[in-house]
Amino acid sequence: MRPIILKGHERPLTQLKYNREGDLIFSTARDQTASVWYAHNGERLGTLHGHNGAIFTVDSDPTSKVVVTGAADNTIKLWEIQTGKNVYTWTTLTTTKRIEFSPDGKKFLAVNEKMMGHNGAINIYEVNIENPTEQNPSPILTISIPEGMTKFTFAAWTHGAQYIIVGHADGFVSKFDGTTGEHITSVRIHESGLAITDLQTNLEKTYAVTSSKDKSAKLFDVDNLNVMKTYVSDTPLNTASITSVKDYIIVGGGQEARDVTTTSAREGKFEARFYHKIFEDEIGRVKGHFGPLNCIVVHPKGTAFASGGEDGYIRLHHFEKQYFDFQYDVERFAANA
Amino acid sequence: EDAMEASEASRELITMRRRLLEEWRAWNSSMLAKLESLGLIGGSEEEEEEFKIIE
Repeated sequence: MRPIILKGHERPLTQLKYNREGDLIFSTARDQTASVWYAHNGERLGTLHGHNGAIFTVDSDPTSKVVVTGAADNTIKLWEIQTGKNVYTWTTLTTTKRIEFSPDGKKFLAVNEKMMGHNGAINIYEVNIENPTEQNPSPILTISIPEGMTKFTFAAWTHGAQYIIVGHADGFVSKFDGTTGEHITSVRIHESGLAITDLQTNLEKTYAVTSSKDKSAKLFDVDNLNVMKTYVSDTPLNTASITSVKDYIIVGGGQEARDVTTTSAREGKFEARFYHKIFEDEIGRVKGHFGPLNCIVVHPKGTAFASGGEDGYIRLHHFEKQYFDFQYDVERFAANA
Repeated sequence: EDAMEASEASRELITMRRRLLEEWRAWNSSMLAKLESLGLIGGSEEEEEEFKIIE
């Protein structure tokens, strides 16, 4: 599996995202730029300039016409993919840490950080894709943190935008009604006091995987928040992603940035680790980054994955035949039965 | 005796994996059936086909 190294960011990567078809990869970084890359060869299609702060998150609409970015400059920006032009800017109260379009592409959720007198919230914005310069400047729904709970870290829609599932800073996940914003339930799934660092769903949005600083990743059912699988590692995790086609989970992390100077790359555990989604065993590792892995994303058709590092590089891997051929005996038996 | 114990352990592992695989597949297909009944999937499969042809 020979990786393609995407060089273009000067600072740590914060999020990677494929468009729906999987022909483009979007990346965001602390260097205040977002980039658009061709997914098959890693060539850069363009750079989105305009934010005045670290960019944390990106998502494109299902038709790949526009992309939305959220940053530390208290703005959310809408860009036309074809021209790279910033066509609209929403002003937010705080930094936006995660953005995700609803499955129908008519709205997106933004997780706004708790800071300086603001408690943080999830804000839902409508998007007018036909006339991108004309937008409703205000969120159509704001979900506040339930009484007594810690701040939101990441969020995702479930199937049909029925619910929003959210990770908190202390190991809890919560579920809200996607239309009314009503708080339905909260469950602690990770260790107390340690933040949930990523939350990604499968393509059908029926289950989700979270990563945590508690060195584990958990897979749970989005309907009842029951933990179905646990993947145990030996390093704090920053990201976890679900593969399609094969039943794997890919996680990444490594020692905290502030401690990196005291360790070599070999000791820092800067590898993407593969786990079997159903059996929970670790089945492989992919080396390469010189610092912690901040984000991992899997191609929507399950043919490739990309990792973004604290080292400023994106490593793009296309899976080879042996990856698809690998099966446990029981899987081979079930397939032939 | 060691060989018998080893084969016993591996039989248990195989039995467990078979059970996990069956449980997962049953749960997953019940979820997909639910999505289909809500009209949330089905149409997407056609799109998938279309995409493959273009490729």
